[in-house]
Amino acid sequence: MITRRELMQAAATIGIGLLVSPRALSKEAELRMVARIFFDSYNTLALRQALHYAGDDGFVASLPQLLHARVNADYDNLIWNTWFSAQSEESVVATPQGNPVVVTVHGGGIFGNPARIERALRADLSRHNVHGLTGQYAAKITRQEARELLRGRLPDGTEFPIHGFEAFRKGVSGLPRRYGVVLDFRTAKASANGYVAFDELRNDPVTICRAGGVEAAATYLEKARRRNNTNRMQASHRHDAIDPTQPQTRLLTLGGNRGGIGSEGHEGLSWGYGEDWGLSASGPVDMGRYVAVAPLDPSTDVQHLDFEI
Amino acid sequence: MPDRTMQPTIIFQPHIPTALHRALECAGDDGFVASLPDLLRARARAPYDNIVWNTWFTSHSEECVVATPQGNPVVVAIHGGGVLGTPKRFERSLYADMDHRNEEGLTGDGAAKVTRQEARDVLEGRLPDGTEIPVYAFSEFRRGIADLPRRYAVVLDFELARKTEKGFTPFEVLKEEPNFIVRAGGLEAAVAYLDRFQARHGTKLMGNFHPFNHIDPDQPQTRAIFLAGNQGGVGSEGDYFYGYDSDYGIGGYAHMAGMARYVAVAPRVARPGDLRGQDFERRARPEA
Repeated sequence: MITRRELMQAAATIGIGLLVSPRALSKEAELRMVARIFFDSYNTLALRQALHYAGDDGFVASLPQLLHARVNADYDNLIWNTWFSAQSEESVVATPQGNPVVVTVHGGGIFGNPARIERALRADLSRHNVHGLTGQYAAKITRQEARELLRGRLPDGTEFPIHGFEAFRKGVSGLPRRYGVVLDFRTAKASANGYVAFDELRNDPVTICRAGGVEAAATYLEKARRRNNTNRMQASHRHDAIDPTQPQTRLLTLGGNRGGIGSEGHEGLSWGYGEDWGLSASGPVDMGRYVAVAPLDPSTDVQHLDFEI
Repeated sequence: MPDRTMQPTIIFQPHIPTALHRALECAGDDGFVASLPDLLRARARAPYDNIVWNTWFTSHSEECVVATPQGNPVVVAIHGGGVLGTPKRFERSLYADMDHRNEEGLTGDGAAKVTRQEARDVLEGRLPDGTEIPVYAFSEFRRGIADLPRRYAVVLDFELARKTEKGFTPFEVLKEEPNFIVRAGGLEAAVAYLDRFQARHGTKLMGNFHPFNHIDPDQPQTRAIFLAGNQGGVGSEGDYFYGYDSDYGIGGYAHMAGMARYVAVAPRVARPGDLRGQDFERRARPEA
């Protein structure tokens, strides 16, 4: 009998794509990693439910994990045909030398904790308050949180590795589930924004950070391009419209709709949530659709029971 | 006999249907959730340092764009609870498939889609929860309606609403704006509020926004209307935009997946044992 911990260790070496797939890891093991979607019109509630389902041995999918799952899935799988919230975020903070940088954290950053999101949403929204939201609806973070983030520490004491963008671009072996990448703010600000050619996105620093590396970005972009044989995809950020001296965080999202229609842009009015917005970032006042993955014993699950009389 | 007074309570939640649910529960059968005219009336009577002037609110009012049986688009403003007057109906929009071709859900810019049936019913004063309300044409409403009920609707031609001055507008212009008159609950109410607003800082402009220039009027849709405000009424002439902290006057663009702050008003009986008014501060005991 394999323990949950052993299962997770084995799973980590096999890769997340397999985790998200419904296939069993081992016939002998009674547990298998089962992915579930948690949607709520209130983002915090969706995240809370996803974290609860994931438990200690599972995880809520980060953006690289969502992209990896898409790469390994058929285009008619739901993973391609709707949008998702990722357990990934982008923070704008200043280094001790005063230089603004963008810190992308995958696997749960400052706002990986629903209580921290709630603190931002329920704060006095005065511009003078160090908590709450910025004028462009990002979540403010404190100077202390910003300093700690650069050292790879979260408010709850969790520590994780932080990589500089140049090292990350060259490739980091054995990336854990939770890690951060630091990118110079000016580079991020100059990054591609809008509907962008796939070739350009492959080398785009923000896209590489969001996707989880050069190779992961290239693999995903190629699969996205082949879906409808398109030339462009949306990738958006607000780095050219914010005050980088205000420490702040946005949550990363992955666009998608049935068939991937309009992924190169479309005529007429916006489609809102029905738009295939590619890779983007949003504030915490929103809906949420997370994927949580956890080890389950299928024999104890109601999913395959027959309820029809 | 104990005193029975109408007591307002502010209900804030970062999720509109949850806030509305709690506000309606707080209001109960004998109270109400404040509409935009209710909020403006409260401001007109309150000192400027009252909280009602110093933060933003969600009103229990909405603006619905629908087509008449003849196919002419109109704006139906509903005060006191409209199509989105129940949290359940709100949730139906937020939980719908967001495919842009779906009849339900949200439009691209965050309004709640209204079904063709709901649109037909609204024009006849019938709401999804079965409630019936009086519907007035704008020309009639502008002349004044005696004894307006708490819940009613006003129909305004879409072209007229679309041409309404949008943005930060002189007070004298707003006093004549059809859209603003409907939002305020009548000509007299509009003038009373605008005069009071103007006198706060001796300003010349106030924000009055609407989305009617860039929506598809063939898609029936509705939005709850928000009343802006911040501490001190800073930047109310448009010189200070800062998200939720902006004093942009009256909105109309709001995304229906967002935060809400309602005012619920309910009768309360003041009793000697009430918690309110009790002193919780710890003080040194007086010397014996």
